[in-house]
Amino acid sequence: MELGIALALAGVAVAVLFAGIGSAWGIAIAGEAAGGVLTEDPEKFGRLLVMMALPGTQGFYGFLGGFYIMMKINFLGGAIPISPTTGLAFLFAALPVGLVGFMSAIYQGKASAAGIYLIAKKPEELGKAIIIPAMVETYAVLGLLASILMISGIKV
Amino acid sequence: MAVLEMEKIHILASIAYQETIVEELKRAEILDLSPINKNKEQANNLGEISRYELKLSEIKAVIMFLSALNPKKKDFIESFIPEREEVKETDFREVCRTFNYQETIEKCEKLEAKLNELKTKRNEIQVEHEKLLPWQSLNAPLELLTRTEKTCLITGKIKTKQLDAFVEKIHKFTSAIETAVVNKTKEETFLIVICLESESTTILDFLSKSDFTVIALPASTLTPQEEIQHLKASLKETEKELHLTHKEAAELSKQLLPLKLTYDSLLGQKHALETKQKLLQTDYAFILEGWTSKADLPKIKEILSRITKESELFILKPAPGETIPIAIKNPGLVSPFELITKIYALPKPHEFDPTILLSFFFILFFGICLGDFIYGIVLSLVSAYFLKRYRLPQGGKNLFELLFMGGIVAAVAGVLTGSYLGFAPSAFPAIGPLKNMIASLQIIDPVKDPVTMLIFSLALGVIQIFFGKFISLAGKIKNGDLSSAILDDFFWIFFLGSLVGLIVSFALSLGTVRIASYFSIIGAVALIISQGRHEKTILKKILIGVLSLYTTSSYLGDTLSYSRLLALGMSTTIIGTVINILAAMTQTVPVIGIVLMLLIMIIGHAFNLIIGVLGAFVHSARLQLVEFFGKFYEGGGREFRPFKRVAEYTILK
Repeated sequence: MELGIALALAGVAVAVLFAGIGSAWGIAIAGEAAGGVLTEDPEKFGRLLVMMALPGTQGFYGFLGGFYIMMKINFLGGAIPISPTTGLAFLFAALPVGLVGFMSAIYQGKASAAGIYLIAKKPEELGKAIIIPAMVETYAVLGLLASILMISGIKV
Repeated sequence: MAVLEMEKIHILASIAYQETIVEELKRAEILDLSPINKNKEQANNLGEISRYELKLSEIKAVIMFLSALNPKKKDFIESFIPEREEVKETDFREVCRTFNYQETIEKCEKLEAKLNELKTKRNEIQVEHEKLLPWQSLNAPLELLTRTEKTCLITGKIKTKQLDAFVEKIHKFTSAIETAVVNKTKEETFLIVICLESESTTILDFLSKSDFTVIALPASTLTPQEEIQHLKASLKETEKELHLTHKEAAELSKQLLPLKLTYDSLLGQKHALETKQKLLQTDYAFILEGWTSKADLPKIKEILSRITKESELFILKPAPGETIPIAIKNPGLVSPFELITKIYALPKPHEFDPTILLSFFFILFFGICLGDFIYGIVLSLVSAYFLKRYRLPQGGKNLFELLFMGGIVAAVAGVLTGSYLGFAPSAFPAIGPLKNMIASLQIIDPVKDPVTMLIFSLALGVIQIFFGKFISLAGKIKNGDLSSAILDDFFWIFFLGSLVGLIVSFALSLGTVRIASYFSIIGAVALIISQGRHEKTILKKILIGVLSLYTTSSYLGDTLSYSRLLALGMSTTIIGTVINILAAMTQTVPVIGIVLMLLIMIIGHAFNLIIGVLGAFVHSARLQLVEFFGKFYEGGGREFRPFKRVAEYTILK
């Protein structure tokens, strides 16, 4: 296999790996908070599930970024040979979605936990509680966007 | 745009009609009752209220006890909805009149106590059983294991690792001692230490300092083996009794419904007492104070005239600084969007209701973010089903109405961007002219050409931000703040507008670059002069004026925030495509390939739809609350809370 393809795959790995780890981590943080609230009030499970799902999107963004690279080099249908420089470009393009996803998911998990405590006391404020972690997610979306624009701009 | 106009009213009537009037107003749910009675002297029924509270908490405990015994299975949606029983009003009264709740409470409390007692007993037996298990090889009555005339027997355990050292040490301590191992496992060894009665205190002292743990076995004429059998038997008996008591309690849970009705009835009585405290009354008359919307005023008049002529309604002028409660009302299609407004806050009395202003943008953004024809159709169908199937509270109803509309817009967006369950129109089988027709409907392909879609998203952002600025301008003119309307809003609109013009002319290399740049400079100068006008010294005025230009960056940030429309729209489509690719991979699997494919398609797309809807909703809402509201909306009005029946478990039909 050529070095270019290997580098592009490294990009896929960076995107999926870091964003995925971040999401798992963030959901765990939110999950711990939710578990505590549920011991008092199991009825709130539905509401809290929504809150726990919020830090999960980064994992998808990472997967999406990674898959976009794979589509671009037609990896699943017998990869197009690309130069090492192009491969490196894919690796760089994967960094925003991977790294911003990683950190933002963890912090979004903390914001979600805060929202969960809000719901514990005031279940009717679900709307506000959802908006708090959504503020964090903005930057994951921007990371994804930067990666997508970069990947789509790379000529293969 | 409708904040309802509120009137503060006083109702004065003869005391004889107090109950009827209050009852009728409660039924009408059009009055926000405020306490008029500010002196504490009249509040003499506090004792009675706390008696009600005590009773209520008793009943509630019983209701919780009984419902915990046979929990109802709820599906996911139902767990969001508070459970309510629907009863006819006549039935409600009848049940509350005849039902002897005191008796049920007593029975329940007895049963609960018995259950607890039995559970404790079961635990005790189990502990005892555990304790005896290691000793069951001993073939002597337990009471012999304490002492004889001259000797003393000490039973206990030690970690097996430390056994040898312990035995050695104890033999060194005194010669008149014997140890017998009864049971040895990898971890622990159970043994008996036999010593002289006369030395027992010193030995015990020695043991307590070593690693040996003394275990006191129960005194009994039975051998451990027999005792264990005995315990097993009584455990069985206790279990049986526990089961019977459970059954008895489950039988009682038939009383759950009447208990709930009684709870609500007592709650109503307590509420009536509390309401009474809010009124001002003499021996012959009473006054009631509250807020009502102007539109509902005739209704109140009609209610009063129907009940008695001995009543009068006064409309009062609110005192300056008094908080006026806020109710908003929007025409049918727009009313679900009140949910978004309420997530932020209701408007203040001098503001207008932003619901209708955000409705168009919200639903458009939602559609773009979800952006798939099939997903949109499915979402609409599911929402319609939920609306029909469940009796939802107001907020839930609004949510699904929004999702229903959002689904339709998403379907349209899906056609325009060429996304059908993640498939592009080009992937369709060619059946007549249909394929070409569908393909011709696609005006943009975000996956292949994200930049165009990005520009479109940002353009939507620019439109909404300008719209917000214009609303702010209009609001200020309406409230008579002309100087701020021109100096702040108009100047900013002018400046930002010419900047946008400049960017557009640059990008398209139009001949208007020069004009636009002149306009921008004029705008900037106007802002420098105007923005520092609240400062005292000339230097500060200019400094603040120049600094205010820095706010441009926040407008830039706001605009870029709309790029999420592209990102979210693309992510639904691409993940959909990925699921299709994964599903297609199963073609090589023999026999079960088709099953696998269907499974991947159904689960994958359902998952993507849920995540997509969550993201689309949250981010479209955020664009309204942060980027749009930030331009003109303050919010923070007190919600109009109509005086109505309070109930926790029932709805009257």
